[in-house]
Amino acid sequence: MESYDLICVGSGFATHFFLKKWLELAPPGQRALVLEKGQRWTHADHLRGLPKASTPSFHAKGSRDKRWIFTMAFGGSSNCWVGNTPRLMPSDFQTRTLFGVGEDWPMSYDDLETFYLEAEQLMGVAGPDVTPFPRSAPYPLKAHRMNAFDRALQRAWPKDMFSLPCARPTESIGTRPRCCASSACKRCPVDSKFTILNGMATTSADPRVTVLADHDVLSVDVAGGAAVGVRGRNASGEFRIQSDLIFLGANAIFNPAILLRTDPNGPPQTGLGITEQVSVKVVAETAGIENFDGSTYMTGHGYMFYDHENRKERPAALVETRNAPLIRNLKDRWRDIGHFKLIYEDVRRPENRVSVNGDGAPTVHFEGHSAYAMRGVEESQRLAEALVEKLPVESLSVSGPQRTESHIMCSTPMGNDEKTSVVDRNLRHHTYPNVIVGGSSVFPTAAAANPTLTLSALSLWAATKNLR
Amino acid sequence: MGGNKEPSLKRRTWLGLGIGTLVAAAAGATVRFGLPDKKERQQGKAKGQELTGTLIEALQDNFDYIQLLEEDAKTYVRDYLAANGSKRVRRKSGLPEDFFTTFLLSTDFFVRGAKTGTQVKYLSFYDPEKLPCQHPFAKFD
Repeated sequence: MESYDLICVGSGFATHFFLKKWLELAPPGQRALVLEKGQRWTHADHLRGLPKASTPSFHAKGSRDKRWIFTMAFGGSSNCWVGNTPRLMPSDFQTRTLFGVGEDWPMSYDDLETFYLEAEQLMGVAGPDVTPFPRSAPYPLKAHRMNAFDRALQRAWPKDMFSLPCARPTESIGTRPRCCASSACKRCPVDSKFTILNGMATTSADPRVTVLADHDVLSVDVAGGAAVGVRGRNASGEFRIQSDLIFLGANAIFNPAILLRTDPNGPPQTGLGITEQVSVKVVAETAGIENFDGSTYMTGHGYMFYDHENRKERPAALVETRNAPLIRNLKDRWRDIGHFKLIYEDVRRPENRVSVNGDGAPTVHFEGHSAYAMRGVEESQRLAEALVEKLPVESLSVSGPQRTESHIMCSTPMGNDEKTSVVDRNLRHHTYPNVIVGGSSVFPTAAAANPTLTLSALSLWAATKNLR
Repeated sequence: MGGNKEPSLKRRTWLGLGIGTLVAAAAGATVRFGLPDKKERQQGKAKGQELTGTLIEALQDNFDYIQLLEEDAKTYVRDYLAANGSKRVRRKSGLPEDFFTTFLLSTDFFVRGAKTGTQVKYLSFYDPEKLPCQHPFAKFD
């Protein structure tokens, strides 16, 4: 049987950031295998609309309005993300202690800080000099230009409004050109935003690494309380490959599904709590703000409703403004408009879960966001009015909640207690410690900030903690 | 029983339909199942032309502050309908707002400084995925 020193399942952010560090730390001569369920498309293929989402890879039950968005292909959802890279706030790691909601993360912001820096370097993040979260070094690239609506908000909220940090570069990096504000980021037409394909090509091309696409890992082979390999299927039939180090870097639907198929009697939280943030859209018609002169798709982040005094009762909200031209049909006032989202954090509910049925396919049961998150949604009109109170706004329209934030999380949470979590602070599985689980499935809470930078930093952290 | 009953065709009706079809086929007639005939196609074409005409007029009425060539308006309407389908513009609540705003973004109006009273030129349907780097207001200082 084939054997490798490391098998990574999935090929998105989680795997590649783990693999990058593993290649630095592994003893000479070791080999790694990356198994990807989807195909290996090029950027040109993605621009042509591939992969087609015609074959459902999971079942969905419960709320009919809910959508779960991801890309199943080499590079995972780096192919379809828009590239926003805020860090979590220090408070996001301690929501139980500080606000009595959710669960504390088994690590602090300070623990992750240097890994955040490293992930930002690898992605080539553009961000501001002053940030709402503490930083020990500047961003690699200068910040994007905020648009006129952002600047008006910044005048009204000088301590809380910032240029949005993102992996859409303000100058060219390697093969990636400077972002030219096409505002079609899900499939960046000029290949500017960071993706695994354009930013981590050297990692998967390393001679110690083998990548096999079209390989669907179904479960981890275990013996004597440890993993000994993986098994799955591909076009040729079933396969089994040996390794004594497994990294699960699939998303928050497939990571728990693999673990449930491996051991239905594993940690009881496996698959429970799947969720993501919930958001509303707001359009503000303004007077005298000639908008959309920012330098990228989304340009502003507002933290005025994040660490607020009532976070025990209602969730943190992140304001995320857009610079894509949404013009008014009004002579001489075409650009007198601003649009943004209010994005609310969520906490895990056991009713929302991933299970595996008879045919082996995962089923996502989603009964709705927590009452805590929905109290935020219900407050949206008031928050939007408060946000623009000092701005020349003629009308506000709030719509939502949106069906998805495309950030699936929380289904194999990390923690110190085996009863309330699936992996430990170093992302080692509680039952099979040579299985490391990565990605946003390990988040104990769904913070309002975008998760990709944090899950990438966590992969660097896990590789360092487990291999050094 | 008071439950909903599926509408069903009686046996005699089925027989009648079957015989009718056979007779028609034997006589060399064209048996159609939902495909439009020439008259219906002409009617559909006429409906499409009527819709195009209405939309061109709507553009001209809305943009009375710029000069637009009828040919450009026609091309835009064709492209808009191709991208959005005609159902979206037949809503009772009126034309979608983006029908007008996308037109402006598809022309050289903003690129030329949003000068009213001048003639605008239709460039191509505004689709940032197909035509990158065309944000008309972005600044990169």
